[in-house]
Amino acid sequence: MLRRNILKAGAVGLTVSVAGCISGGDDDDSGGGTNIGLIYGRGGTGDQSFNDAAHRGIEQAVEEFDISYDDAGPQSSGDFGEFQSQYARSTDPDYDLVICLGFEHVSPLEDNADEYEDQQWALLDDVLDRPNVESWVYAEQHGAYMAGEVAAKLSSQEFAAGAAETNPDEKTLGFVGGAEVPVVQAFEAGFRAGAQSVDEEFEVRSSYVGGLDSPGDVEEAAISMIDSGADVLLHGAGAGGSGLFQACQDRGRFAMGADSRQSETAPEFSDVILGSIMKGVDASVVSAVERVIEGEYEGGETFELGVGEDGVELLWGVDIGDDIPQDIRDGADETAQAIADGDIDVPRTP
Amino acid sequence: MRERIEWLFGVVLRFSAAERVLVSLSAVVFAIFVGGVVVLVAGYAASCESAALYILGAPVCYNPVEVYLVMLEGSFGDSFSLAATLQWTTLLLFTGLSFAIPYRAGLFNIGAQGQFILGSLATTVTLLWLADLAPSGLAGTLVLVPVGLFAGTLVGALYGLLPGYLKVRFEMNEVITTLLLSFIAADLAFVAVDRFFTTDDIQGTVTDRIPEEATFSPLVFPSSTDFSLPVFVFALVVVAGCYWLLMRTAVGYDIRAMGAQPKAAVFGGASQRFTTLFSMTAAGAVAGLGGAIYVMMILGRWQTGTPPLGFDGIAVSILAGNNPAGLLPSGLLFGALESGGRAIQLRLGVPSELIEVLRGIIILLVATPELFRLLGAHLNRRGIIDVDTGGSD
Repeated sequence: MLRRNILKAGAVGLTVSVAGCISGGDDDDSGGGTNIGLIYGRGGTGDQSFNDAAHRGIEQAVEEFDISYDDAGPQSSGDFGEFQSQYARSTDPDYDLVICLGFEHVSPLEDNADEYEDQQWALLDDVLDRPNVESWVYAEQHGAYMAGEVAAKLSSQEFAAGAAETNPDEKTLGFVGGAEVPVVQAFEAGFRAGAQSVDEEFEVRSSYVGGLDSPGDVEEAAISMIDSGADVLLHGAGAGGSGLFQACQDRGRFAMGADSRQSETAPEFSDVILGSIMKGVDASVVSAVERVIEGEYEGGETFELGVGEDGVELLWGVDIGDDIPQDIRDGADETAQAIADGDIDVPRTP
Repeated sequence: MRERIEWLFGVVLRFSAAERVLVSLSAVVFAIFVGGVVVLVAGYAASCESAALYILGAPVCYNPVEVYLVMLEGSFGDSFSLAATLQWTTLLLFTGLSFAIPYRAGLFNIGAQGQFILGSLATTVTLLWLADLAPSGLAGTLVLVPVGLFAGTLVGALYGLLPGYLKVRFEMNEVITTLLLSFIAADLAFVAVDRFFTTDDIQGTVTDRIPEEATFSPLVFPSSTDFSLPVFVFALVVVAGCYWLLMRTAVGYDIRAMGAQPKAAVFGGASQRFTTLFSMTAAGAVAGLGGAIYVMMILGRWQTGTPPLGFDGIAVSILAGNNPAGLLPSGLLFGALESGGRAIQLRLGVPSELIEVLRGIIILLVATPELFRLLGAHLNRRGIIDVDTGGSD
């Protein structure tokens, strides 16, 4: 979005008269409302996934409550600590809550939470045990379990929709992750457990490319999985997920997305995206802001949000989701209920 | 036509040192003006809730004057900002040197990034290994700091020696090898940490923390900053040492002679083999030392996502005319752009992409006269053009 604006800026560039009358503007001064600082993970907004979900959340919070916010996108390992401390020591405005996105914040936050003990922090997607840090994590494995179950059921039958079809002869699925860390491994664990709940013989091939911003590597891994028989693939690779969609589209296989409704955020691939596992990142941003406004902020607490708490859900693809047989879709709803009720225990580690 | 080109190069090449400084300064001023126009235009195209100013009744999101004021304040305004600027400057001094030294020998070291990364990893691993063996307190500092710095320097030096050797032994172009070795280093470090040195405490490709005794604490500056004044002074001493090495020693004379006139230098008794190996090793050593300081002063551990300091060092060095004496002002400018860039992103919501554009314009315009001069000198040396340089090189 930003990039597009700048390109547009270049196009209209010459038409703007610099020497025109320049009147001073006013700062956006929204009175005594709550101020929120939001620091994204590396890569920042535009990943059509995790960071964008948080951005949606804060925009939603702006509409619902009287708040104003500032956000920043770190670009290297040195930026996380620098942005954290800049927000924490800012007095104009004084930030009531600084929200940090993703596990890369943990190391510098260990120091900054101690250094700025009066600052209220919220850490999303990881846990840090400090009295002034509220941690929010998601039971990714719940959504992945549902995705695995749907994938295995479809893979076992003849099914064609959009630009892809299944291969009932092979009982193989694929998973491509970004960094090999617990939050991503939970996807793999849930996906495999879900697939094997349909048929013990299902094999889930998995691969980790090492980072959350390398579509090329993801595409390569996905291609080799498809060539060895996988017909439904899930990614947990952040912005790299587009590589998996590309591989699936080129070879006519199905894909499942993560962190945002990717059939909408990546519409060029919506003809192969069966559905997306949504982490309730936006919902938790809104909740975290609401708790601060209501005076219910609880530093030191960890909130784990599963399917029962809107922390995770499986959203069907906007284009081909309707083609999935109704009994499979109903089955997914029943599974969600069973997980929320505690009848199904989903593993978090592969 | 040809006369006009030769005349133009002649003007540039006959610039005195003072005139060159003047050219650089006016380039900075011009770059700031052009950057301001870009900010204005981008602000016109962007959409925001409340406009920063109105031009002919049209809302504009970013006010260039305000952007520059915040940038200035965010880089020199208070002790926190100054610390952030000097922190970056310190590291850029090392990576800038890493380009400047081989350049004087006629070599391009594009690989400071890789040498920096492996140096930082070597320091981390060495310090983690020594953590349990070393004494605590001041004695620990006295042991761990020199060892940590040495480990980074050594590994950086070896990783700089490698392309030097490939050049001498197999005549492999150092531009290609150093550039490719940078990417190899980044992936090598990633795999090494991921497989062998990863911590159990937190997620991600991250090592354990190095012992407290081996970190540089802020002395004059606020305790939450990651900048240590003695380290900055140390960096200046290293720069001065390299200046002395290049300008006042026999080795330095050989290096400069090799860069200026290889055939004459060889005829005069200098060994191309030696100057290549020596300058590449020295380049790797200073880059590795920078990596060591990145870990010991800022991060306190090794983590993925190393900033592109090695690549920025090339621009810093070119702006400094590849002369160690010019590295401090040039490094300060780049440090200020870094910290000021963060400040405008945080305070004004200017997207980081626009900051990159702004930085690029400044770098481009400031470095272009210097590049033009280097090109002229090169063509003149090759005899492609014929210019009377008036004695300076």
